[in-house]
Amino acid sequence: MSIVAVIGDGASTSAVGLAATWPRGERTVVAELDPAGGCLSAWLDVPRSPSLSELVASSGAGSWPVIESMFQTSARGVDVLVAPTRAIEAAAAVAAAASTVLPVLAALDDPIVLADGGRVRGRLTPLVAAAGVVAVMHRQHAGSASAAAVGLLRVADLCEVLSLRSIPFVVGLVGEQPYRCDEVAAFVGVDLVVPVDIDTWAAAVLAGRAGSQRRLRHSDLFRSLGSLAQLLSTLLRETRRAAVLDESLLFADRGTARAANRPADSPTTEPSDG
Amino acid sequence: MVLTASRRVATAAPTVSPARAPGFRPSSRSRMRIAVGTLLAIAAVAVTLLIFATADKRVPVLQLVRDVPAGQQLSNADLRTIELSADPTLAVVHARDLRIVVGTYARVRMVSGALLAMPMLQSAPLVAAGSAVVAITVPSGELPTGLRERSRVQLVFPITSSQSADSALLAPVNGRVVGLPTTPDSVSGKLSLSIEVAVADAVTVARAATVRVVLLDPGVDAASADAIVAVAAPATTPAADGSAPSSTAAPG
Repeated sequence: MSIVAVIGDGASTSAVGLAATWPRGERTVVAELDPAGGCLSAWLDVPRSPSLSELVASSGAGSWPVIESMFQTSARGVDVLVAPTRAIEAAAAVAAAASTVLPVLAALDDPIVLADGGRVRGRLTPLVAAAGVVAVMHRQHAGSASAAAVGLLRVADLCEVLSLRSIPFVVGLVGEQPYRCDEVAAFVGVDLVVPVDIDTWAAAVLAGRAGSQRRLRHSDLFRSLGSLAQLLSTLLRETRRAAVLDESLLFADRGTARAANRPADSPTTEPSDG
Repeated sequence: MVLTASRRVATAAPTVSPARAPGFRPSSRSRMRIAVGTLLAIAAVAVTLLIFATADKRVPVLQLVRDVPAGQQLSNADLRTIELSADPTLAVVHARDLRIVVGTYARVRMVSGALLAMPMLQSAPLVAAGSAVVAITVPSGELPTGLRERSRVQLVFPITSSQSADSALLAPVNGRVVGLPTTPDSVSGKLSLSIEVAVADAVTVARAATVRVVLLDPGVDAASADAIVAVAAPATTPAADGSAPSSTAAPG
């Protein structure tokens, strides 16, 4: 349960930003699983190959060593598995990865995979289904309250689906205009709505523009993404803990059932007195 | 399946940047490139300014405002200062050299409007020491074509009808034109030439009733001309008392 699915508006920027601001002590990688086409190869200045296409086409797509070899270490300090740039190719690769790559990533304990899922358009994609935690990024239409409300309705629908599937999620609200976080939380009906500041400069730097690392570290976007990353990390840990608990309970139930079905004169269950 | 994958991953040693510290390193602007670019821009601007400044560089030079015949001493009134943008190889006299050129002598005739040049001037007077200038009148039709100031000429004294047949034939005299009028006298139709000759020959020339002017080859220097004359008139000795020279030149 190490996948943090980042979906919605500005998913790529948020995924890279979350990887950069993730709490220390936990390693992160970024996997680009956006069926609309990848952009991180350009943003992070890494080659387009190897990409998700090569990974799903390889015979070892279901093993972590092969998947790990497809991650590229960028000069920006982010390890990334890039998706094909073209939408058709990317959609095919993401669809193929759903049955091979995603289960492996979901089973990892380390590193944490920040998966850029792009816009999901209300659907529960395989990535979201396999994720331990989902970050639903939503940018409000600041100029029109009506348009913003329509957008929030779609977010509410998505959150309802996530709640029904018991998938932990956090809403990242990009910009607090025209509605504040508390208003959005009340409207959508969720508790975890984290504000993410609009910072075009920092977003551009994450997308490949040259800039000062110090200024980026102190930017509003980085600060708000850091808060979101902290919350996601906490949720992920709780999800893992719950999963481990469920697993142990499952094994305990199996053990109880096995013991109940065991014959009473079995020589291996009880030591003989003798 | 998830559990299976989890166990498999647990045995595999993850190698994705194990020692990497979290953070994001933006692509940095290369200070060296910025510096080089700035220097290049400054150099380009400087070169452009230099080109334009050189192209529009106007220097004050001296120009003649009146005709100056050869031999005349230059004065301030003959010159004025103008500014022009000229090629550096153009031989002009800068205005700062005005004091140098004032007082010098015109080596050739200089016309109004011309730019002054050093080769047109000389520091010594046109009439050198040991020479004299004699004026002769010559009908305008008897002047050789191409006669100019500073032309080397030979003065020939033909026998006129008024002279007796046994009159001694005067030897030709070498000289140099120093004054050449542009228009003939309106009454006599003659031109007055100023000829620089040796002092010893001045009286001879002055006494002559008729003088014909022979234009010598400008390439012939004085020694050669004298040699030519010597062949034609081996001995010409003007009388010391100013009387007619006792010429021993070969008869016409």
